[in-house]
Amino acid sequence: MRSFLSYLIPLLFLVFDVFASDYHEQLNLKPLPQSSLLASFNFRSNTTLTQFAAHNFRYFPRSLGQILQHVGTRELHLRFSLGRWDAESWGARPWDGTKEGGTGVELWAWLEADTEEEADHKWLTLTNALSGLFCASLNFIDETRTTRPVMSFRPEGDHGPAIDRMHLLHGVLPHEIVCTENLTPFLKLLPCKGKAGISSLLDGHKLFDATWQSMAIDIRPLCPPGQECVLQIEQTIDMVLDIERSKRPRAGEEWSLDQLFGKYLKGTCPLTDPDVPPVCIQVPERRDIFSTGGAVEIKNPNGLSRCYQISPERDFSMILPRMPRDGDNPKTTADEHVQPGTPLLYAERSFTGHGQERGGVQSILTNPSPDTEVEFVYMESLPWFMRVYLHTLKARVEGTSGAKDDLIEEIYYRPALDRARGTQLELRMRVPPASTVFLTYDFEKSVLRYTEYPPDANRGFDVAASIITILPSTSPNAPPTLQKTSNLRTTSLLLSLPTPDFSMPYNVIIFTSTAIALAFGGLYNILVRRFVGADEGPEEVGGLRGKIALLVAKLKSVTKGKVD
Amino acid sequence: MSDGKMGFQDTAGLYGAAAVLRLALFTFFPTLPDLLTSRVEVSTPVTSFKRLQEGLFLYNHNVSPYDGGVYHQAPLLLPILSLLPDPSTYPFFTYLLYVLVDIASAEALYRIAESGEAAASKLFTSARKDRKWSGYVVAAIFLFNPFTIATCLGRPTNVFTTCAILHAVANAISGSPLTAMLALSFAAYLSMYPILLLPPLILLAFDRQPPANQIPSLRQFTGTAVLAVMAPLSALFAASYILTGSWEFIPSTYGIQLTITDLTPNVGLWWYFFIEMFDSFRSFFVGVFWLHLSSYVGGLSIRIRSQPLAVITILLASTILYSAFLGPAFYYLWIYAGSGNANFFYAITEASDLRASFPTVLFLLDLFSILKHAPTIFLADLLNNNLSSTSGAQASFSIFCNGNIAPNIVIEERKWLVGWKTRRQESWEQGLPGVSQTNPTVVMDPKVQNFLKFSVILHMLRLSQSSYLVSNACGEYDANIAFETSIAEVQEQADNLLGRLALERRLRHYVLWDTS
Repeated sequence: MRSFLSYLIPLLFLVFDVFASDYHEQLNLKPLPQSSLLASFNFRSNTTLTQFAAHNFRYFPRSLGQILQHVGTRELHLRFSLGRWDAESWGARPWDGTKEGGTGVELWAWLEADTEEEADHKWLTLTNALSGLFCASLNFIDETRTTRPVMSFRPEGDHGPAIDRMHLLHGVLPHEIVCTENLTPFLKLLPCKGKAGISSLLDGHKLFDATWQSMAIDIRPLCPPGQECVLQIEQTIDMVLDIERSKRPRAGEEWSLDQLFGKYLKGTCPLTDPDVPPVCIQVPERRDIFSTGGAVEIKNPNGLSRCYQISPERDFSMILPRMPRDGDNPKTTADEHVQPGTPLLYAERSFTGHGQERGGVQSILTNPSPDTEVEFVYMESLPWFMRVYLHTLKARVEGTSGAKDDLIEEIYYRPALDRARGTQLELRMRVPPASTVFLTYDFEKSVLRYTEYPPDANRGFDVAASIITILPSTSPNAPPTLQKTSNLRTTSLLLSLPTPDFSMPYNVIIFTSTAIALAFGGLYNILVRRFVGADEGPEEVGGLRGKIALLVAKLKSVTKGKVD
Repeated sequence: MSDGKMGFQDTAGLYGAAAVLRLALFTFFPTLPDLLTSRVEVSTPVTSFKRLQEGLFLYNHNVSPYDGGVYHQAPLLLPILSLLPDPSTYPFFTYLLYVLVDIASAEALYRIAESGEAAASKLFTSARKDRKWSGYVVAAIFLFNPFTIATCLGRPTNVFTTCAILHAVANAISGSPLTAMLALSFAAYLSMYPILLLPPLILLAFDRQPPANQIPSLRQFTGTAVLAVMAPLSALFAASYILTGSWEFIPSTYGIQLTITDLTPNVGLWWYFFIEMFDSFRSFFVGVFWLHLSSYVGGLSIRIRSQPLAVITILLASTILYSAFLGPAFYYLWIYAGSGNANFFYAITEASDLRASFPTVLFLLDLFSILKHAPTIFLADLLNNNLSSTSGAQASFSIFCNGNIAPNIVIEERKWLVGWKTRRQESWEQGLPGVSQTNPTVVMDPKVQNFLKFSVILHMLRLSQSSYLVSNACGEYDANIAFETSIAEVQEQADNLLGRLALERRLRHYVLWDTS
């Protein structure tokens, strides 16, 4: 037996070595204008579908894998986001916006099911299981917050024939506050669990202090040509740190990695692909960077980024010193950071209207490009208590010569049902070059039953961000950013609804019931009576005397009857 | 029939003037219709024109309007109204339709008033039947009533229901029972509650049958009439089913009205009641609400058998009372200005609840008067007012209570008390049991007199107060002032109730249990 095992163990290592490169991680730093720093952590691991089906989880987290297998999830995307990406100063979004969600928690998944009911049931199981796994209120994604997007999302993986049986479900929790308890399970899914490698930099205090942050989990099956199909899990954390704020109480223009993140990078994760440099930074070539010992700098030939190959055992940090503006080697602002790219589309959304009853929503969509038209799908998933009037939907264009009527090319609308489902509105539309489109519609605020208000009713209700999916351009000479799908999301909105007085259901019920009783009693009283003159009835003598007289009269009649 | 023709010639000028006035308002104040459309005084969540437009939009874009939470109106309105040009681009045709419906309602009211049914029905003739108002005046009051005009401009769909009800009544009076039942089935199809008017309407039609083809048995007549309502109603439902392709319109139109799930504020009291209701008791109270509303039908029809028109009036009025009765001020302060705090809110709620009980008192007095055969002109007046108030401007009912009905009660009550002798003689001649032949000496009790006067003054005060609140709500609103006025109102209401109790005690002097 022992000899058998001794043969087997090297064999196992051999097998493991084949997959050793199936995990890789990388931290991308990008200084942004206004003393901000974008830090993108990316962790990716693959497992073959056959291994996955045989419950051989290696780099793939077992806890998540079992949930996925249980509910037949083909593809899953989970997002935890906080803050707002300031596109005006920070430019285009990281990963073209494909790895971020609206404020709060966003989840969408393709589930394998034969019927819609089965898909709904599986979705319920999935949200409840993920809720436990990620310590988030995902179980509150009920049918009123679930939509089935038609145009906005496309599967990213290779699904083959199974695609016909797949159901896309999408749910958002805009009110969810992402915090440390969501980060801990996120890190636990990683092979090095935040103990080594770039994940050792992640700390709840710094991450959730960021101006903007987004944690993403994407799971998709991929079938590279000529190879076995794999299931890929990609975990991403993007954050924009305010450098000044993060390195407090220290002041000054220079900053180092350990100041911003509060700790050193603890070597590399031993499981990671050694060929992929773990830390990269996008700065102009003339920017000075000092790194700790044992790290090797690899400059990208384009002069806009450099990467660091670091020692597996030693702590790593790097320092970006203050840029001397005069002296021997003066530096300009252009040397400080790479100019951020212009986003394809700017989008902002706000409430219009006045009073607590009626309202409107206005989305301003601006295409900054001077020559390229942008085509996209605009999706709103609104709570049922916003009664949308679709006939008031208007798109108005400004800036281009000659107004165009056909800005909205296609509408998919699923109206809300009270207490059963929310509104789903998807618009395929386009913005002409160098112009702004104002998209407006009216809605009416419902009044809810008093038990349906949250404890902080006067704070208002969060309305999920609208999701904009920019479709790849069909023309071959479009800019490279337009060749593939990209996303952006507006901020979420706070909708204040009129609130009843929560302290007095008793009073209202009692007073109203009194009114009914008065009405009914009075009416009944009058309906069953006959009216005669006062002197026509028997003589009425009030008080005790009258009662006695009545009693005597009764007795008299009784005795009379007996006598008779 | 010749009366009707002559009537139309008489009233053509009136109708023309009303149409011109409405079209002028539509033309010269183009923003007014949209402003009024969103006013709670004019439209409820079920009847709102904006929701109708949304339903039409969805219908024209092949989305089922019943698969959503916005449109709760009858399916057949959709194809009929989608025949008209789009209201947002060519609003004139929609305006014209609503103007015509208003004129049709006025014509029906004219016929009702001219028939003299309010003064002299088959089984009962008022002592002062000569003092009734002419149909011309009634139609004019209806057509130039600001609330009717506001309703016409706001274009809620309940004007169609009102028109159908009025035509049902008018046809029943003019001796065409089948047409009346057809009109009633249209009204019931549009908004369900008019089906409650079926028993008194049958009685009315039975009393007014043309002598040519009379059905002498009430039972047989009732059977025919029920059939005459059910057949068109089933045809309408079948047409709706064919049109929408499913029965889902039933829960979405009548179901919503029955279960009161759409709690969008309107001038009614019930939406607030059901907001605050405990979840476990909600369905129970919904049941109580409907039972309560429908329980009056039988009782009133039997008790006031001699005056079916009065039963219809009281039922319509109580529908308004229970589905739509609350001053607009409360709504404004809370929903619109958002400035009501808890204390203020408490007072306003209390006041509104008590206020709701006040018209009850008025109704009891009305009923009291009716039962005593007294007020003929008053009844006609009440009837006309109420019928016109159902034409959509449901809040107008409260204003009528404030402005018109209360003074009438004072006047009529006094007249009744003065006219007691006449009535007594009548009843003596009819040989009612328990009525002796001695002439009683009736003295108007000063307390009763004072109470009635006081209630009129109070209503006038309240009217001015609510207009004050409304004007304030639009600008800066001082919650304290309203709080104090509301508290004062509550106290007044309490005094009122005490006064009412005192009144009842006095009245009991005249009212004895039926000993037979």
